[in-house]
Amino acid sequence: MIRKLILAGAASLALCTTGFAVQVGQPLPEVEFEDIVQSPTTDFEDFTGRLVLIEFFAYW
Amino acid sequence: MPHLNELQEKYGERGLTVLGVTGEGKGPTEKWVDEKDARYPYTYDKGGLGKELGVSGIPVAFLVDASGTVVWRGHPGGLRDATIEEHLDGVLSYPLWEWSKDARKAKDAFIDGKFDKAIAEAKDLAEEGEEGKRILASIQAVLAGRMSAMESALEKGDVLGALTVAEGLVKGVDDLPEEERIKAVLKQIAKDKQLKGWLKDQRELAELKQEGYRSSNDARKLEKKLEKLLKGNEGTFVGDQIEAYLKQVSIDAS
Repeated sequence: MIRKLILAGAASLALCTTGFAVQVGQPLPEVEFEDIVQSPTTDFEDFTGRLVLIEFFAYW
Repeated sequence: MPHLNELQEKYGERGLTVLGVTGEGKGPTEKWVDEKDARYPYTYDKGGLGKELGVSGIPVAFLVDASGTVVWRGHPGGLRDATIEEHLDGVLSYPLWEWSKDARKAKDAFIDGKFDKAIAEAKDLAEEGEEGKRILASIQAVLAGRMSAMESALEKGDVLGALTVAEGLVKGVDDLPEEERIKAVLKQIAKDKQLKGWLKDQRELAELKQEGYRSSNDARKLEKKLEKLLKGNEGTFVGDQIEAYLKQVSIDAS
């Protein structure tokens, strides 16, 4: 029974495809960062005109 | 992580900047970055960018082109070299953080998307020395890249893409040779019946994607809307976009 519930929960999570707030083809929203580490600049505006790959990560 | 180090090393000189963003605290993040030997820039998300971008799981990455448009999103490991290569044309070859203080006005104008003012300032600087010439060439290459992106989008029927580029450019090209062509494209999109139709359908598709779906029942309803939207668009750019999304939705609807 528990296994069935877990599987049902997993299936419902897999289906939970909510819309993306920002889609491909749309502009990046205004960006505010406290500081930028290991970078030639601490100001995000200095990346204007560059191709930027933004990766969201966590240490855990 | 090694993948991102490799991307930064491989494409950094050509115009790519990898930027890690975390919502976690400094202490454990710094320790983790050190342990993993992450050598690219990273920062802390204090302004809620993750929320605005709809980030619900990590890792997830967004590729933002030289005009500030999101051109790809997904798992960082799924980003192909070809996608990066495709968007390296028209990037600023001489990065802003290397511009000297003398170029402050040109820099501010460039950040504001005012190509006309940035080019005028850069021309003045070019008369004074090599850096000015380098700045001028860099700005002109970015503008040429945007013009090329606009033409290419229009040619393949990506009206929304062409319109986005043209609208982004038009306010900052006064008296430049490009102004006339940009205005002509905007006029063409506003008047051409077929282009207007594709644009309308691209916008409707974007709205449907934005809404998304939360259940198989929602997916089935969306599937019907997409099938209706596809009718008459088969074989076109917007038709291909609809079909790609329909394929994904149909899996969840069944």
